[in-house]
Amino acid sequence: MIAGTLAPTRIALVGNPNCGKTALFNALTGSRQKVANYPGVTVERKEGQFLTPAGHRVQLVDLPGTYSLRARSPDEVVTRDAVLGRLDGEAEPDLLLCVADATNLRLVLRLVLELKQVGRPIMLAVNMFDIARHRGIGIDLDRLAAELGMPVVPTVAVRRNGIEDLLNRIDRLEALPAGAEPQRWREPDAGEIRAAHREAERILKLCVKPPARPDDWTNRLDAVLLHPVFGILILLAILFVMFQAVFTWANTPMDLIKAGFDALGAWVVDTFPDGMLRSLVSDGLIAGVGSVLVFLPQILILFFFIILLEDFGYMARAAFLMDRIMGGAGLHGRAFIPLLSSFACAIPGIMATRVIDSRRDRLATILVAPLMTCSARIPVYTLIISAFVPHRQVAGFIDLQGLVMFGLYATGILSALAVAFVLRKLVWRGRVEPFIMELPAYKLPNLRNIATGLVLRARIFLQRAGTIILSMMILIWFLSSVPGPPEGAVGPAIDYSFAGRIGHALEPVLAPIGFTWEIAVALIPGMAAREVAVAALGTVYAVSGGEEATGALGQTLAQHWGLPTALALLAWYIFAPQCASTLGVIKRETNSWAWPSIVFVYMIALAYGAAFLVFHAATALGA
Amino acid sequence: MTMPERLMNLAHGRKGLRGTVAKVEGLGPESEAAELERRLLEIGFVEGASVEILHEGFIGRDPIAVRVDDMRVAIRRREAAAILVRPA
Amino acid sequence: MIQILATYLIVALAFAWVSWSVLLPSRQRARVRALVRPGKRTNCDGGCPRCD
Repeated sequence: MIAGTLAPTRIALVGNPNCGKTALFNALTGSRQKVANYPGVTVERKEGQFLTPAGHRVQLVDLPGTYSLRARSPDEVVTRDAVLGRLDGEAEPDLLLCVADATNLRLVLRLVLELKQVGRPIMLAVNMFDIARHRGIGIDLDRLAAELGMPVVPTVAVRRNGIEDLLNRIDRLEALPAGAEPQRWREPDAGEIRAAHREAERILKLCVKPPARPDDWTNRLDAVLLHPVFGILILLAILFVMFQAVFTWANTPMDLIKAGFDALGAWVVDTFPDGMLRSLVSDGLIAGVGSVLVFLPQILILFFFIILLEDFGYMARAAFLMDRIMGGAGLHGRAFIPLLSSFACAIPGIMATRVIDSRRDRLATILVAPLMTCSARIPVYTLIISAFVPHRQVAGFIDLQGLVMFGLYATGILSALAVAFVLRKLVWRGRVEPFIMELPAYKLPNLRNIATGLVLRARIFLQRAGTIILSMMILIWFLSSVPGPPEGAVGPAIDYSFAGRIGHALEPVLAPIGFTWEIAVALIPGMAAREVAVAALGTVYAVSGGEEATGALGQTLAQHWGLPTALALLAWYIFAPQCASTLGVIKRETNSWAWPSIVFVYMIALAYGAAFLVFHAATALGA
Repeated sequence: MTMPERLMNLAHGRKGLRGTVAKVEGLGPESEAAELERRLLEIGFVEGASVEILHEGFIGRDPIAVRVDDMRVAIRRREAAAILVRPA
Repeated sequence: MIQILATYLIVALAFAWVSWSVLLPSRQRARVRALVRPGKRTNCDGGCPRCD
């Protein structure tokens, strides 16, 4: 096609949501994908490269799914601007490759008609062609190509059928220099959308024979999965299995990762000469990054379920079932998935809010996501519960420790709903965003797609751990170990550091909620990640063995703290914004310092208030 | 001689209601109404489309799942109020 | 001595990275990038008529 130039041909993938666009992207690019953020916005930019049979290098960009170029969500804005060549630092695509679901052509035809106005070369891939044929939908591809005035290629992306034909067609395309055809697109008004619908309907009647066998499976499954009673029960059962999996399957790999980092740390301690550098490498780098990387198995298991259910077509149903419940608190049905992800870690949860159209709904979800009990709170909860809550049966069969844990989770969820409710009632009154969402036909999930998605998630997480989280850990290490203790000092080294001084300075502020200066000191490194506070408490109380010696640390804490202090610390951890990475992600996602500041302030206020109440109530009750 | 048209608001429809879309008209303040109308049109609620209410949510029978031609759409009754249906 | 220097260097790098990637507004970041690599736009391998 563009002969004589070395530049890769740039192709943009466009299509409705759920049309198998990502499967086609995977089939074309294989594992040669990279994910970055678009400059200035925080929508993921998925890009891959491949060679055509004729040897042309092609750069393929997967754009977020949309029904129209008239954008509302940040995702859709990117699609529009990428298609129009308006994105900063990106040239117009050489080809728009529009992906259609062969079983559901109506809406995509309208999108194709809209895309034609952009004035760039365009090609239509009619995907899931096998399913359409199976259902007896007859598509006259030649006629369709003639009516639309563009090449039309049938594909079955998940089985890599039709890919070769598609590549050959790309090779045969004529290059069209930018600006050769005028860009006539502008936001259509209602009348123009209606006209485009009529045109799409006309083409549909000419080229497509309606299905001989309707999609019975989707109807039958929906009868159960969307049932007012069974639907909710099944949703709860799925969530239950998911959480079981996240917390049980992940144990072994998490222990392995932890043991690996511990061994690495021990090796560094043995090999390097004593000094600051050794402390930085073993306590700052290895222990710090290890404490975050340990969550990789949980995050992957959670994403395995999310991608599986998404591929299957269930996530839209979950949003349907949850919309009214979440709507009562002023949240959008689509906020369900981000909030669910936040139980593993608020970071992927906050990034998942990009699917929410309206800015207010998205912000409300981002604001409450950190209240979901993420797995970094678990080490802190376990430590305190095992040290202070007796192992006792309540009402004959419920374990008291388990009950307290459940209570902490429930408090997190309820307070998130309450905060969202208050936001809706007091701050963002009035306008309610519409909930209009396609319920896609159910499809058997494709294992290769799930694997590709998981590798991508793992890569994003590792990238974060290797850059932002790593640098934050180094800074927090610096605060907790500089300046070093003077000669002949007896107390723990952290006591003399900046963190120690800040802790001592905070002591009077934290005294009313029952916190000792040791807790105050431990909370400073705990800003890196919540569970780091456990290791920090170990350091402050000079318990050797750090995190592994949770039992010993628990006993020490039980000697030093009263029950009110312990309960107050639990209450504090439900709310406290003890995670610098989360605040960093909120800053990036909202592109403003205002929102992370608001999150920090409101969460600190809630944490302080809750700890204060719990401490004084427990003291008054003589606990 | 024609019968007077009996149109029904989709928001008041119950499970099993079938018909064709007779009119799509945004609600509320003008900017919001125009936006809602276009969104409904874009997802397939266009005059002449055949619709059927397939499922209802469990709190207040809201939202509803509607078959629109050959696809399914979840929508709150609040937004469905912008759609008038000619029952079949 | 070298140890301490190396430690402070790493801490300074970490601080620079956090300032660059988190503290700095992305618009400023894009501007700095454009200053450093004039003419070459992001995500372009060169060779396109409008970039070079």
